[in-house]
Amino acid sequence: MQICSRVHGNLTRKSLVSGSSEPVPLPVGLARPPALSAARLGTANFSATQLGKLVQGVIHLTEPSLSYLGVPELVEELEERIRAVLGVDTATILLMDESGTNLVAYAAKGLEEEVEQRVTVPVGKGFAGRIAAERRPLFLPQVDERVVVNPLLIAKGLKALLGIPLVAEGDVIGVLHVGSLTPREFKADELTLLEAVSDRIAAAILSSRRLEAAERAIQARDDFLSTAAHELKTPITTLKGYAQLMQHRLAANPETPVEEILSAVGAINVAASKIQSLIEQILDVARIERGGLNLAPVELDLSALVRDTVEAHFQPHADRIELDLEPGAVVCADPLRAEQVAINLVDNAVRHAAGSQIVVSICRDEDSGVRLRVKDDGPGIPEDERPHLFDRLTQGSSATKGLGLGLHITKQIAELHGGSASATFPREGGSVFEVTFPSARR
Amino acid sequence: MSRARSVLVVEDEAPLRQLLGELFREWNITGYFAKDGVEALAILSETAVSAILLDMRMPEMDGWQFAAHYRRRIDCSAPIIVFTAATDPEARAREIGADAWIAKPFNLADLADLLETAIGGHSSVSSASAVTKIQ
Repeated sequence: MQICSRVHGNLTRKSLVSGSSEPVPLPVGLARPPALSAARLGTANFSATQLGKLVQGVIHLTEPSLSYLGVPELVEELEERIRAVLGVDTATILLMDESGTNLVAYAAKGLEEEVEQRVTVPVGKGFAGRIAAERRPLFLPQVDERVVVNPLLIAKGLKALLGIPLVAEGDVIGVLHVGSLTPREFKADELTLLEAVSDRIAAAILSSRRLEAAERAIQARDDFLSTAAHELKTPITTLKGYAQLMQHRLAANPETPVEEILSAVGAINVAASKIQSLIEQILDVARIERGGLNLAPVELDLSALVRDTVEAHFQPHADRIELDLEPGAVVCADPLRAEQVAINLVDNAVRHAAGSQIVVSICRDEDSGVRLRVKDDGPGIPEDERPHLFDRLTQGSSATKGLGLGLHITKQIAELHGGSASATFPREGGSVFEVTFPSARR
Repeated sequence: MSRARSVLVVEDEAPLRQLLGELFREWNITGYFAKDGVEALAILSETAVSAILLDMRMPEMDGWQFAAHYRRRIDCSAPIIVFTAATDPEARAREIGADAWIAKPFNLADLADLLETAIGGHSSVSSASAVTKIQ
């Protein structure tokens, strides 16, 4: 039982208890994988009473992990139990941020200020940072500023800290540390207990996070379905209204003038086209997601295509759309998809920058090919919405209509062509959306 | 001065405004048309109407904002009928204290009946607290 003797040996060394401000590494072999067998836990040297207490402790500490708590409730419950079982003054869980470079205080008992101030510890720095970087438990018998980067730990008057990495599926997802306001050592069975539960805590946090992410995804999909239904109902209202009107008129007067009938049929046709376009957008996203958006690229003059597209689709807005199209901008692109990109970008400006002037330009760029740019001098996009403009199922202000798929589809089409899509926001206001297509080889 | 049988339509979809214009001619209703709340308030500052048919999601000033402005006016006696494609139109109507609601898409007969009630029995509709369920 080499593991067992190492654990016990480390914890009983004098230097681990007092006289040093250096964190003392503790062996990691016990913690992963967390098996409840006595051998794997290194409990051969434990008495029957110790073993009984250990098992009880493991059961007590991991019980919340089996329930369907959200991450905050789960962590709070775990910390409370850890504090009670180990008789410590503080229990803190820091979780890794998305970048994987910082630990952020997520929940704390007895050290609530750490969470309120959103204390952030870089991986590799300070007590918790070192535990995450070294992926092993550390014991700090004397808390001082030479070792800890978080001044709160010193201000609180903590005398000793014991910390352990939270590892799930091979990744460090956080750090759990417990602290004492009086000098103390941690016994082997206490460390063993903490190690035994740490992986289960990590797995429980990971599961809860996944559950929350799944719930958010379901909510986003429900919201999308609701938006899609709303958007489809609007043209259906027009279509159904004209159909009923004509039915009524023709029933009342079979000699209804042809002009009236043609006008109604025209409106029905426009509404049906709008419905078709909304359904195509939904299908495009489905095709993109399963990798089935096929392109039929040909050499084409993007300037000519954009001019024709704007004239055909945006005639009612002609007075506020300026074209600045460089001749000879030949690209290799699928004409239908390139037209779709142009429609999406101009439509986006027309709808979101109501009344503003729009400049649609095309220029050749040595590095990036041919650049289609749509610039408006409207109100711009709120800063918090900018990072998600090209995301799926994202729509800006609730006052604007549409499925919120246009920019996502645009970016996907550009990238499938080997180009790119981006948005910038000039200081003077407005928005600039750009899509590049690779130049055709001549 | 209140204009008999007049309805203000606040709706950002041009084809729908056009359809309602045709229906109003058929039903002998004078229609006023605004593409958002701002235009609607401008019309109301010059003209009294018998009822307001109000879409909720619009650019510039939406249905919620319009209703709040409208309620602050001295003359806000014309009943508001919420006209929406939302999943729960009754909830939208309650949110703004509207007098009635009708879901999009609608049947012409239902809209005609609702407008007749609103215009014909103006005072009884505007004083009723219950939301009229149409579809």
